[in-house]
Amino acid sequence: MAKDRKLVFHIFRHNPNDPDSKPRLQDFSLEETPRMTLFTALTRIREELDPSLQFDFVCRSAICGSCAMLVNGRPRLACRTRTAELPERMTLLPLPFFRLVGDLSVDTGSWFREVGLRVESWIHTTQPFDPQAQEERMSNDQAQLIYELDRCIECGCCVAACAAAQMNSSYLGPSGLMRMARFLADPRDQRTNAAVFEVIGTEDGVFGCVGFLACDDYCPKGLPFAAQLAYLRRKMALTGLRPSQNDRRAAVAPFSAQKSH
Amino acid sequence: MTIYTDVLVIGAGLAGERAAIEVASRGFKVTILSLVPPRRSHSTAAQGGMQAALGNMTKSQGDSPDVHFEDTVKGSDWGCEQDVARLFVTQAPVAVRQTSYWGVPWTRVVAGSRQLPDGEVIEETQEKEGLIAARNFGGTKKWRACFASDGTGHALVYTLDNVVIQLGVEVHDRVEAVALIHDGQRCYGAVVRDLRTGQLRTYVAQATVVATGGHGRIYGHSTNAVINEGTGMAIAQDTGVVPLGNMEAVQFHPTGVVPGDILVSEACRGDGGYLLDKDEHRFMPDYEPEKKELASRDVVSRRMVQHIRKGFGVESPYGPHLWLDIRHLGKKHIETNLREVADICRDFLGLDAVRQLIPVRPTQHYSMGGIRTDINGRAYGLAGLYAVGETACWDLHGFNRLGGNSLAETLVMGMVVGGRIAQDLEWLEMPFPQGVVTALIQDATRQVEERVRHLMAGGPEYVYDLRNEMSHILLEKVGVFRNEKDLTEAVEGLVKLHQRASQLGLRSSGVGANPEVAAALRLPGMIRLATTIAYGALKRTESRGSHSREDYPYRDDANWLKRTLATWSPGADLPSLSYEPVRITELPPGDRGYGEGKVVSAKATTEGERVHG
Amino acid sequence: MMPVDAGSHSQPQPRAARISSVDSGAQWSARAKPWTALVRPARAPAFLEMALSVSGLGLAAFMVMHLGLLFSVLLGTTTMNTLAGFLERYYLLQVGVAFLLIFFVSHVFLSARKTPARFGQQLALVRHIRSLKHLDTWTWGFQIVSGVALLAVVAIHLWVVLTDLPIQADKSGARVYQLYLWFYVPFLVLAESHLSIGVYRVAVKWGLLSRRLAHPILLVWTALVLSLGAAILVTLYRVGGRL
Ligand SMILES: Cc1cc2nc3c(=O)[nH]c(=O)nc-3n(C[C@H](O)[C@H](O)[C@H](O)COP(=O)(O)OP(=O)(O)OC[C@H]3O[C@@H](n4cnc5c(N)ncnc54)[C@H](O)[C@@H]3O)c2cc1C
Ligand code: HEM
Ligand code: HEM
Ligand code: SF4
Ligand code: F3S
Ligand code: FES
Repeated sequence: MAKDRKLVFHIFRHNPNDPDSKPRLQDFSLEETPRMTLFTALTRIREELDPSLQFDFVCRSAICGSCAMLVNGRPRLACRTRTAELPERMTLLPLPFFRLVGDLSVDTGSWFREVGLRVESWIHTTQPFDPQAQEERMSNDQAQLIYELDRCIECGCCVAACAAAQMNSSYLGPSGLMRMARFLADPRDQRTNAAVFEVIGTEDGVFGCVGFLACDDYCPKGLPFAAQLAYLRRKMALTGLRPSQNDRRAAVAPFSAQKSH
Repeated sequence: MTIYTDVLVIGAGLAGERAAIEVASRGFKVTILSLVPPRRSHSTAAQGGMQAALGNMTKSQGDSPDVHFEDTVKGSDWGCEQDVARLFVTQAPVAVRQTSYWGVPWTRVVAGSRQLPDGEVIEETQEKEGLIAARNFGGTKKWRACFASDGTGHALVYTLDNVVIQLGVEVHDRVEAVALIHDGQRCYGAVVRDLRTGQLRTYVAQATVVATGGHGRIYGHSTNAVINEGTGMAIAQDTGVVPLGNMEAVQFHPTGVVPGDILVSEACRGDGGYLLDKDEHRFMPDYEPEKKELASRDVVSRRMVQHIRKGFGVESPYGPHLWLDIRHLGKKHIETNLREVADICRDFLGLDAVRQLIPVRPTQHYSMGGIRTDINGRAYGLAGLYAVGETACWDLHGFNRLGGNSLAETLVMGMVVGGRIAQDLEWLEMPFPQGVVTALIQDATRQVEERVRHLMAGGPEYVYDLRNEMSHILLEKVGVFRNEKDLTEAVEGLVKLHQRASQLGLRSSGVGANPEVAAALRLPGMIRLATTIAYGALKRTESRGSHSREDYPYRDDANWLKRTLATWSPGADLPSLSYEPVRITELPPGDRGYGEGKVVSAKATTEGERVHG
Repeated sequence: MMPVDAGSHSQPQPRAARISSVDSGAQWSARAKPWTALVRPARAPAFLEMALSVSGLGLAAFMVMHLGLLFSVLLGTTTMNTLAGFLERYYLLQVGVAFLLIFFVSHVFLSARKTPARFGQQLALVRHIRSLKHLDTWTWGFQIVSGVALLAVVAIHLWVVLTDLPIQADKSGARVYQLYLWFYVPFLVLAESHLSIGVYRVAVKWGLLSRRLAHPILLVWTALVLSLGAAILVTLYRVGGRL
């Protein structure tokens, strides 16, 4: 890497709890160090330059989804962004769409919780749990597929990147649809096609998706949006044509079809 | 503002949520508090697996709760409560199956034969196909760690949080409990700072459960999340009546990457990874011919530090380290089963784990100690206060936790303690003395307000300077190896820091959800935790599990088959220590079968000192 | 439909559920009924979504057919005249026009539902497209602009051609030569890019093609259609010049 770079960060500042605070960009500069990430940089800015700077890091290893922000216009996980990949001057903005908590911190948690409620993000079953019994069997391929669709870390990058969400604030968002896909893939969930249609067969659901596939391009976990959104759209279109369809759904798009890129 | 609820759960990690589910499903109103949205809790970071004796693999044939029990007790170096361990091992299979019922996509057994990286060929039977699979973990006799691909913690947290949503349990996120409300006898709830606005509010509850996870961040370099600052332990200790148990028992994980301290999973070694030194020599078999890289964590960490001290470490700008080698596991294995590890190497170190070595060294990882509770999760010292998960010292782990036993503990303990709380609420009449409680609430709130005012008024000390000094002391003097000189210096240094912490002032305005205020409010409690660790370690003149004294290299069952309890009276400089015996119900102290294994046995006091090799 | 009670599709009640536990062994059963739809869900969105794609594809098919027919001029003006005469004689032209108008009008209305109506939304969209610099998002913005432009251009084109029937190569050539070349060149590019992007969107939205495959296929396709169109225009221009 180029040695001795002096990095300049243009950082969005606004504290909604302070009546005197106006949204603005503030500049901070730091000497770059080897293997510096935006986590290291922002932590140093807070500790050395301005202890009031707000941002969210938790795991600092790209698994908790706390630290998404716009880095030069693109939604990214800040903890996983090495400064060496970026030009000397960079702009950091909070994710759009979500409510601002302050500076770079936004309230993704409340929104994702709401989505969880809307898609009833749990296994719907009439089967009781028997603590004495052996676990139910499942093929490993099936388990892997569910896991693959369950890897979302609710960072909000996809939602922030999706133009449909910017235009329609009640859109379930790519991650909300992916959540539904995860339960559709799960044989333990007994919801019928028609019940699923009620949740996502709407303009705020899969038919609100315009197919930008920015979700597919910006999801830091590489969730298979292209394949899954297309699958949901087909499935819901068919169910929409035959709305009395109360049957158990058929198997999902096969695992091999998931990896579109 | 005061919010009333039946049960207040502070912490939305696996332990807190599992307890909340249990209580809520029995009809009580539960409110969960969390620093961050529940799914961001540090439990999501666990990749490796969860121990439960299901015995579905060929390599786990013959496994049973009994074997799991034995592994756990040996792992703890006989520091654990054996009745707790027994309860734990019998419930772990139920807990894991229940999560499967709730939707966790556990990796399943695939019938057929496959070759292990060391050349051995194993055959999984048709009969077990589709049942929950397991992988090998350090310190266990059988393959017992159930796992969901490379994201066990993630899958568990998301599934449990789904159940929490389903049950309609209220979760208030972005809040921080800063003090417990109590009268020295009974706990009534907590004073909470809203991290969105900086305002204070109070929660009043029949039962308060602390589930705030570990304290790793006091060490600065830790595999823990940056929010794991031990605040739950600190506010319990601040009551002056609740003791913390075995705080000197701190686990170091053998494989934190350098730099960055991000954990690469135990599964790397479980699946057949090697540790190499600067000459790319595989050194573990030299020390541990039988278990090699798979001895328990404390042993491997110590061997690594030992080997580095002998001059075999790889020099780097971030200090010496060793190599982890998983190249021979093959591209396919690394990119599926160890994908998270490959991602970490690529994204944070810029290296390709399929072709390159991974720089690692032992890094603070887990706190065996915590708020001391009985087998029902009731904290010592205050009625109505409970603790679960890593923050508790239920004492399942003694002086060393086995990999995979922590996730299992969060679920089993959450389930058991949640049930116990519900029973306590049903059977014990615990009415609030209304007037008294109101006074207590006001009092507790006033105290916190006073602290904030004091900070705003200004002082010469800067929170991040003190914090870094604290971490530095712990890292340098209370690490993997300990001795009297270092520990004495550590205690002295921390006492001074604690005094300086009363002079904290702010450098920013402190208005609203100001992070500097949050850090400054936390710091004194963190320094007290650090002091408790160092002081407990200084007083414990033996080596047991992760607590390794260079000046007392033997496990001393004659004098130290007991647990440290540390309470901190308001205004004191040091904790006051007392000890309680370890409960041994089944397995008498003996040889762990790995590690240095030097023991001063309990009989030695009468028969003269006898040292086992 | 299965009979279901009204409660079974609302949010779960905190106290209703029971989860097995160590001591009680109580049973977990979240809800008593299977999950069936309570009400007939609104089908319109599903229908409109499919209709949009069908109308777009229909128009695309028309345009290809239409270029195919014009291609006959390359084989000589008489071929084109014969073909045009044939179409008119058997009312195929009229059928084509009717077909076109239905698809065109429905396509305009259906796509209008997708485009942001309020100024605030438009502003958000423009800002988003500019900051994100994401190809597929950008092309959608282009789709809206090109669509609106096509609305006007196609209307003019239809007016000009259909008020001057029958279709004859010489007439067309004269038109192109005298005035309309600089109308048709951008028209061709506009229509083709809207069409290609549209077909691409249909393909990825419904999962007919993966993106990796769609990109090269559409590039080849675009090149083909553009050169075909250009060849037709050049020929017509020559025909017009010879007159
Ligand atoms: C990198 C890593 C990998 C691991 N891998 C494994 C593994 O493979 N297997 C295994 O068994 N164990 C593993 N562990 C250990 C295990 O993950 C943890 O011990 C366990 O998840 C702790 O769960 P918990 O519920 O007690 O705490 P956490 O999950 O840490 O949750 C703590 C909760 O408390 C909240 N909180 C904290 N303080 C406050 C406050 N003051 N007020 C309000 N809320 C507060 C937080 O917001 C959070 O919600 C790993 C640990 C690490 C660090
Ligand atoms: C006349 C005015 C026109 C307007 C205003 C218009 C507008 C639009 C818009 C906004 C879309 C995007 C819809 C979406 O992606 O969801 C679209 C899609 C499309 N258009 Fe047009 N268009 C017009 C004419 C045409 C013509 C002449 C053709 C054929 C040559 C055509 C072919 C398509 C196709 C194939 C799609 C993709 C449909 C889909 O996404 O489902 N359009 N149009
Ligand atoms: C039934 C309706 C239509 C008829 C009868 C028709 C007829 C013609 C004719 C005769 C020409 C030759 C040029 C001329 O005479 O001016 C032409 C050219 C053209 N038309 Fe149409 N057209 C129809 C609809 C459309 C539509 C809907 C589109 C757009 C999607 C379109 C796009 C074009 C283009 C781009 C050219 C230029 C030819 C080229 O570049 O190769 N036409 N059309
Ligand atoms: S789907 Fe991907 S981008 Fe979207 S929230 Fe989940 S992890 Fe983030
Ligand atoms: S970006 Fe948005 S519009 Fe659809 S394809 Fe992805 S959800
Ligand atoms: S801090 Fe957890 S994803 Fe970045």
